[in-house]
Amino acid sequence: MKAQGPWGAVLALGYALVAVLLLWPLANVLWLGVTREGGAAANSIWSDRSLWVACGNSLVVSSLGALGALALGLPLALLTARVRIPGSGALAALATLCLLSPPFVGAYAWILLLGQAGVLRAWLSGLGIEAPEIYGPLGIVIVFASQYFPLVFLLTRSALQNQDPSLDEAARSLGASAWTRLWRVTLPLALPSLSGGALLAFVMALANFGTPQVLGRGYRVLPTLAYDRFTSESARDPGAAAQVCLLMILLAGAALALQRYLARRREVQNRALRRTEPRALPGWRGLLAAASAWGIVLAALAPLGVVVATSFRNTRGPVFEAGLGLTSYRAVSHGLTRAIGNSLVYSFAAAFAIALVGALLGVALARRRGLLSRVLDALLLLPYLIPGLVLGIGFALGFQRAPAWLSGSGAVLVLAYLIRRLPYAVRSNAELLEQLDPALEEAAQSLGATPWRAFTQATLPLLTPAVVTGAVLGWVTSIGELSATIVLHKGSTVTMPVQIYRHVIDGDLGPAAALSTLLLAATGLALVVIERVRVA
Amino acid sequence: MSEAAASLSLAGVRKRFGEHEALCGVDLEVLPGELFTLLGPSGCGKTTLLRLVAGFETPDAGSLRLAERDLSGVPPHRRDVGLVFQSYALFPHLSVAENVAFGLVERRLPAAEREARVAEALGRVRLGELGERAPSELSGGQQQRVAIARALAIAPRLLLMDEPLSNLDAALRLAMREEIRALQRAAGTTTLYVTHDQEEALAISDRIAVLRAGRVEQVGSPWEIYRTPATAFVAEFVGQISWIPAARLPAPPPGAARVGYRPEELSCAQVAEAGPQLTGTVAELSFTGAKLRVRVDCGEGLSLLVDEPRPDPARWALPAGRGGQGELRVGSELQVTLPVACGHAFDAQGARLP
Repeated sequence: MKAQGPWGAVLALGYALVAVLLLWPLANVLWLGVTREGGAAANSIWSDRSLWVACGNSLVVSSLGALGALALGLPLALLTARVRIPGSGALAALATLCLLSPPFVGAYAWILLLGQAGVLRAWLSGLGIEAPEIYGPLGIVIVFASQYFPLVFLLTRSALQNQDPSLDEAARSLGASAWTRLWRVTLPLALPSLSGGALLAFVMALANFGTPQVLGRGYRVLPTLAYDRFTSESARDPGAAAQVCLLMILLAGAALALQRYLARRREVQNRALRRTEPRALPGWRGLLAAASAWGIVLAALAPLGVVVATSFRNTRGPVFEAGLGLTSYRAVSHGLTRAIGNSLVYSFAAAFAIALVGALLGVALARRRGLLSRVLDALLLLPYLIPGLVLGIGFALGFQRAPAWLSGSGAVLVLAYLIRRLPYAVRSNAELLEQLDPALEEAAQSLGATPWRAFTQATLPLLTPAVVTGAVLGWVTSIGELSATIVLHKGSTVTMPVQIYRHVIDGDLGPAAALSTLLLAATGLALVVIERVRVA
Repeated sequence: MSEAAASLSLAGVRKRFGEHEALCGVDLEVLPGELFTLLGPSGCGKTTLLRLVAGFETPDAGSLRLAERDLSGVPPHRRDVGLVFQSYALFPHLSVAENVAFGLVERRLPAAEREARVAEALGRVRLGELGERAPSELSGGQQQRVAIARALAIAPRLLLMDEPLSNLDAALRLAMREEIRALQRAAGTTTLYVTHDQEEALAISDRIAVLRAGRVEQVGSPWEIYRTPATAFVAEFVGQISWIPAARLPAPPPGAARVGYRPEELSCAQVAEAGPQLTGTVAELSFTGAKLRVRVDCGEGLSLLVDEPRPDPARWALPAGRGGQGELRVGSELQVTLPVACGHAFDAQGARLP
């Protein structure tokens, strides 16, 4: 009595999507990287010193960024999981805002603070202190840490909350002090989440293009090197770019493999009967805990606040003037409506596609178990490995001879956004469905519902939160996407992030701030929607 | 409630999952209006049988007939069979009343009649005021009652209950047991009830089928199952029994390999009743209020459980000052009487001797 339903056809659609949008572009990168067709230099890039310098730089800033994320995220997780902090819900939401804010806006914010004409720098030099400029590796590491610490924070916090308090009580009854319990019980149990968050931060930092591009100033990392080789007019060498891309995929793959290995090796069964609730800490220690937790989040968030504030300063051309006003927004509304319109259309189209395809594939994976669905599930891990810039280059190579309605329009951007954010939506749908009691649909059938009615009446309503969350996350990441768009866009398909990037490079800081503020507002809106769905 | 209670008959039903033979030829007749229980240890096939009747599995062989009509090829949603799940399976996105109305909506009943039947069904399980609540706001027992109301609201020809009490705590389980029985009797719906709890089965059922490894060991009333177990397995699974090898008995029944006694059938009273006696030492004493259970070690691995329904404190002494002033304590020697009239004799294959 196993109803097969239409899920076989849906799986076929999934394979078609993966083949066209993932495997074909990757095959193009691989082919070009191996054959080096159209290479300007005859000698292999592997003997090119600039590649190894960039590779070393990438590893250094990504590792330090991940360590910084750990240094901020772990204390925050410990504080919020164990101590009752006023407004801890808002705290988590603001941390998520840091994480979801468009990747290069943080970099741009630090330029406003500590760039050549940065406000903080100007203020400090008024006091006679010569602050270092933000450009270079230090700035990149700071931005990485303050953007990716929420990964460590959120993952570790949930692991800490799910620990059974009896474990801590048992250690205490055996005579362990607070420090011993932290080192020998609490942290070892949280280690899989802790290392997972840090490695995820490492992988995302490795793939980050916007931040080093804006802050690097000659400090090359792999994504900026690949971009340079792929697009620059003087040193154009697509074959070399493809080889850099392959190296990036290898590094990301190694990091994710390490993460899986660590997670599996340290996996402990959680048979918690109770959750650990945060305790109220009286007196100055409670105040100190609250101040530290809020301090971390607000410090990470402050640069974004500077962006918002800057957007309301009056500008004339690239020069800031005294007084507050809407000149930046006026400039945006005069010249940049196309970018805003494009961003809205593409991100909504991508979100809609992600919701629909994500739900269909998620259900198909959960319902039709077998080799075919397991392989598709594994293939859908690939986008986590592939930096946006690599996907962009793959799309550019793979679809350069495609008809103009595809390669020359926003459709190619929507498809790139879709394949990048689809895996998350598919997994969250499939996981939710796997957790559902199969008896629900059986109950509906025993009450007279046909198998299809049982699915639509009993299962589909419960899937709504996962579908909406997947779509909103897809929307917010699509609207802020830079690294694939920068390679794929044309003059007519320019988007807000590309426009911000150009303004920042040109030193045109007012409109950049206004556009960034709009993106941050979109991110905040998305967070509110997700929170609503989660509560309901 | 049901116009005419339906009968259910299973003939030669077989089901295998890969290598595992879940049901190997089951014949059962469930009479109209009776509460019929499938009792057995986990893995005996009782849940598979229930899911076959519900239509979620198809038999490899054999036939299922409900109210004289063949069920083969009838999908679950056309079987008119109410189902109460172990997990209750209440729809979390619907209110209590909407849950109960679910089957009536599928049957396209007019709104007015639907509301009336929902109200009636909720009233029957004493949840009339909670219709607007979400299932998650209810206690376990209340959720269980909603699940029953939902299954009964469609006036099914047959009600299936899959371990409905196993998620409740002990006190609630007793209360719900009586309530289910009362509801079933009032509705008059033929009911197939699955459990692994022998006490629950004895308390609630009109008749019981004891299953073991996909086969029916015995079908009978609770009295028959407990007092005349057809096989050694039934004797061990339902209630407790002490086995005495035939060789240790002065006059074993012809053909018997062993004879079993229920704890309450044995006696270690001073005044010897009619019957042979065995000598042993007290290995353990446990007083549970209603009775004193004595485990007597008779040597050579033979151990007897004896219940004293009204223990005399002047005769017994519990260990470490837990009561009694008597002489009999752990380690004391005593005689156990085996009444001739009782005793369950089984042959070497485990079949009961007359």
